[in-house]
Amino acid sequence: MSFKGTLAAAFLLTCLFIVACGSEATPTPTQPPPTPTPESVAPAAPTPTAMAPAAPAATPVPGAPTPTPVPATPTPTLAPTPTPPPSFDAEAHFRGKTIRLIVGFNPGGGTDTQARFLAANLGKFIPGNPRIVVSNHTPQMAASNFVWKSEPDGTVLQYTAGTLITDSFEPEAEFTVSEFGLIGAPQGGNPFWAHRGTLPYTDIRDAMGNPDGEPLIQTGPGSAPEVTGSALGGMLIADWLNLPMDYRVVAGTGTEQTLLMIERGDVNAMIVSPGSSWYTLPARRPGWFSSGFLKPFASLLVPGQEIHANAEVEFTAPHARDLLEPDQASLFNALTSPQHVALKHLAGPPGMDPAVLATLRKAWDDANADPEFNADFSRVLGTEVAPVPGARLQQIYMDTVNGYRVHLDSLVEIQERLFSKYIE
Amino acid sequence: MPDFSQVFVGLGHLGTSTYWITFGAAVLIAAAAGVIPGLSAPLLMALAIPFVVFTIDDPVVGIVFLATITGVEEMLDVLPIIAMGHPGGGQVTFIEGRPLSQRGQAARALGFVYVVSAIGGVVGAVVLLLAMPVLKPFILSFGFGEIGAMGLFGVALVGALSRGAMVKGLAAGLLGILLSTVGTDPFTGTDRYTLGSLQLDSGLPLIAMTVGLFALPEMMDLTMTRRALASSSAALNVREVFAGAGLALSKTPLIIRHSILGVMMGAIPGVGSRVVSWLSYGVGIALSKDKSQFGKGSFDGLVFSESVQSSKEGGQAIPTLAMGIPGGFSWAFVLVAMLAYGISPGPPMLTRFADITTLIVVSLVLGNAALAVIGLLASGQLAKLSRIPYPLLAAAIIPLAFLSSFQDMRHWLAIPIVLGFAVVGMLMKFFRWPRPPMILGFILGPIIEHNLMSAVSIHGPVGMLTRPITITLILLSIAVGLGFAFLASKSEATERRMAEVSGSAPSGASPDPPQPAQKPQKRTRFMWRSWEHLFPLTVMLVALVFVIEAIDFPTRARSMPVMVGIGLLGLAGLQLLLQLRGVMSGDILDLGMMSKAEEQRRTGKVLLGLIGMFVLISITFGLKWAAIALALVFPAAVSGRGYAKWGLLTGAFITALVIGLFDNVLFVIWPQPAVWLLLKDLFG
Repeated sequence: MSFKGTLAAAFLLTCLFIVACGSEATPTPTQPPPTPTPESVAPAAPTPTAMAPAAPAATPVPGAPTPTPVPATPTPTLAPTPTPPPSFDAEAHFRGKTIRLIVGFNPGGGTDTQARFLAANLGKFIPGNPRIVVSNHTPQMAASNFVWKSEPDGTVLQYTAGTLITDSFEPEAEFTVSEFGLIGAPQGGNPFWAHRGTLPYTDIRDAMGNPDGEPLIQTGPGSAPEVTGSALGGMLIADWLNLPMDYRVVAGTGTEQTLLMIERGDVNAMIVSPGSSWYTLPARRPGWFSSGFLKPFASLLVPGQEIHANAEVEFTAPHARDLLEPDQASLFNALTSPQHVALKHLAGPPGMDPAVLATLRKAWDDANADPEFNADFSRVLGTEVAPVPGARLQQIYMDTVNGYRVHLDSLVEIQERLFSKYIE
Repeated sequence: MPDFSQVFVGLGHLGTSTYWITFGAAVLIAAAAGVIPGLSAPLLMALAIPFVVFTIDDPVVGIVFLATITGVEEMLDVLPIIAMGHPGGGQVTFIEGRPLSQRGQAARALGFVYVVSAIGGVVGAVVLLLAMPVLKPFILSFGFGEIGAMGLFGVALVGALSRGAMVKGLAAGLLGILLSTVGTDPFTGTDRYTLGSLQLDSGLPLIAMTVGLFALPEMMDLTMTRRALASSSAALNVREVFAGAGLALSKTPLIIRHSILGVMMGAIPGVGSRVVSWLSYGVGIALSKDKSQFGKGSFDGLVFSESVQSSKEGGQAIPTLAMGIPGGFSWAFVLVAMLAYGISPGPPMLTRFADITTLIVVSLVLGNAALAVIGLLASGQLAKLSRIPYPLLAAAIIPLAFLSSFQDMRHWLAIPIVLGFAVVGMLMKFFRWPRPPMILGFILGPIIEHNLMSAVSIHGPVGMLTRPITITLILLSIAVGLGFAFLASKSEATERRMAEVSGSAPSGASPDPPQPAQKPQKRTRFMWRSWEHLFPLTVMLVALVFVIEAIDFPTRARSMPVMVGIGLLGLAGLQLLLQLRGVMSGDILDLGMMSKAEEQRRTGKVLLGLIGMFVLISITFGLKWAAIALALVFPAAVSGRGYAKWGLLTGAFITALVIGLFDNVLFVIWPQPAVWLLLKDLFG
């Protein structure tokens, strides 16, 4: 065979490999994946139940504990975590086992670092002290699909970012988010809107009803289907309250890049949806708030959430929800809640034995009640832990998904209208 | 003004044993990450950071530990490149380093590179110290437009990497840019050319692509020679190492020039670590009088590549410490640790936390010096690896290349990507299309697209073009591009005239002697029948598919692939026309085929069989078993039964790596074999 022939054969072999090896990594053994079905609870109202706990901001990367402690989070009224039935020997179930904690991001990011902290510290709160190891399986959608199909015995769990709810409406999703066995979340989201002090506004109230005023310039999405989450929330509010608003379409709008754009003067306003920055910015950009370089413009929290002073200033701006008409607030809550109900969460596959799930939920609660664990976890998060127990989280997710689903039909029309008004 | 009392507090740590133990551990980890293929410092730091922050109570020590690893992480990775013929991530160094190894100068090259890196690292640290208080305006002056224009300048440097094959080089560069558009468009969220694969949403994986396009063809080519990189008579000893060190010292001004360039590029957030050595190489060639020396084992070429790799770390530290903006991937870990310890970046780093800044600078200097000494002392022996027959090294390195690519992408798709690009790379080597422009285009593509389109959105087209740095860089790009085109046309004309006079082929790209037999043809004679025409034809087909597919994309997602695709269509068509008219390419800056036709026929079949076996075992038993099996049988299959015992060694190495690192440190989720899944489907 000539060398060229060899190359041609190698090419054919590659094609063969693509065809033959077309399998996702699949956990063994597998259960048939439950068919995605409508949520088990019918939507009672278009407005989802908002996140109950008033959670301080979380951060995608570990940040500094704020010098001024974040005020204690009001403890939500929670359904007590079910205790595992006496007949279930949790210690025997987990002893000697390894729990694989799946992370849908590369090593080194915020989610991965938090997961590695949990892997090193959560095992001692689970009866039998199983070993917990982190496996990175990217992207997050693939990780969620993987966990969805895993054996529901508590040995495969996922630590994931909160965009899972909106992910679940994507065509690639093989899962129904609220059917995951939710174990707990360290805190909820805390989105807020901020503007540079150069703008002639104290906060949103000065800019309302003044569409020709000096515009707030911020980043926006480049297509109508991308008008989701905080971008959608911002556009809705700007539309309803007649804010002077201008959008710039840029590639990549992570918090770090947005902060750099603010500093360079490329934009003069930003919505921080992961909620990390209100409490961690005083450590990451000392003096920005205290010097007036950046000012809070509005809170984008849904009902039930509050925002407190950070290490430098009080949050003096109003909640946008309080400025809206009731039907507007309802729609705003329904469409923006999915990004905010939990920044990260710990979950297992659907169909977990209730006793196993209860054991893991109890371990989560016990760990967060432990002062040493709590203090260390707060260092990793960059702010105080405001744990949301699994049973409560399950209910919140179900309500949020149902509320979101109610508006799905009108969502496309809303997205196109707002995109056309502000971007095109 | 720095707080000098805190500076002295920082220096006081140098008198403690804790500091030196931490420093020693960091240097050893960085050394291990550099020498052991498959390990990287960022990966180790990602695994270690939760433990560092919670076990090292003293923030000064914890941060210095991570900063030292970050500052010197890439210093020793030249060893596998030069002594073992494994390109890894250092393609530029490989292009210049491999010919040196072949000439028996591996020891000299290693000594040279370690001193170059050390000087680069020290320059980076010194500039960090001096520039941190004042460089913020410079950093902030580089917005989207300026960074995008820098990308364009990089594209203009493709001319430097194309040399006597300007059309092929530009086409390869555009092909790289076109391939970089695969993945989710960051403006509109449109999936471009992902074939429905979630794993391709973030684009083609750079590691799998470069392993396929560059590393695997080189390793296969060297394997087909069945020889060692260096002859047995090559001088590989400590004296040669120090001769290389001396040679490096004689080039100190050149090293400092490129080190400062590295600091500047490192300090600009968004430029990216991967592009700096290519840009420095292009700039270096552009400023060199004798451009023909590059790609053939040039020590100056090694300066361009390696000085910036070290010095950029000091540059990346500047936005990290001064502004809280991670300058690079590894510096993000340092920032994470700083925040977890409650240390704020920005002005406090020169006042309250000046002790930490001081220790970081001192540790970068000491770390570079320490690793240079380790490298110099060990290189006399380690350079002898280049005397081992290459098939025996390849038995370990080729399976490792597959495993590294898989680990980076965490999906089986990495393997067909590697194999697919290996075919492309081999064809490019064989038909003498330069690969460096393609890699550079692939790296620069997103930088150009994301930044220029963002700049247009923010400033408007006119506003963007009135920004002084942006317009200067754009004009410079045009001037450089035209300059190279002029030089290339002049050199091609000269070579053609010489060829016509002497009746011989134009000078080859590389010192690697055998090139496909090509005789210069008269311009009027058409060459209709040639395998070589298939390559530009295929490139045209790829460009056409990309353009047609892009028509349905939203405008923002469509612009880049359509423009680049049409350009590529034109250039590939022009190249085809040139080939049909018998116009030969001149000298190219790439490594040509080293193996002879007879060796290719003899060993090529064996290699194909081995890869076939690897694929079959992958789909029947799994990827890790395929890698182990490949390492086991490779030496005997390529070099004969007498080398079967060597297979036990390479097989044991890969097994240890799979079990030790992949299964028990990274906890890799291996893909299930397709045959196993099929059987499960059939029999429940």
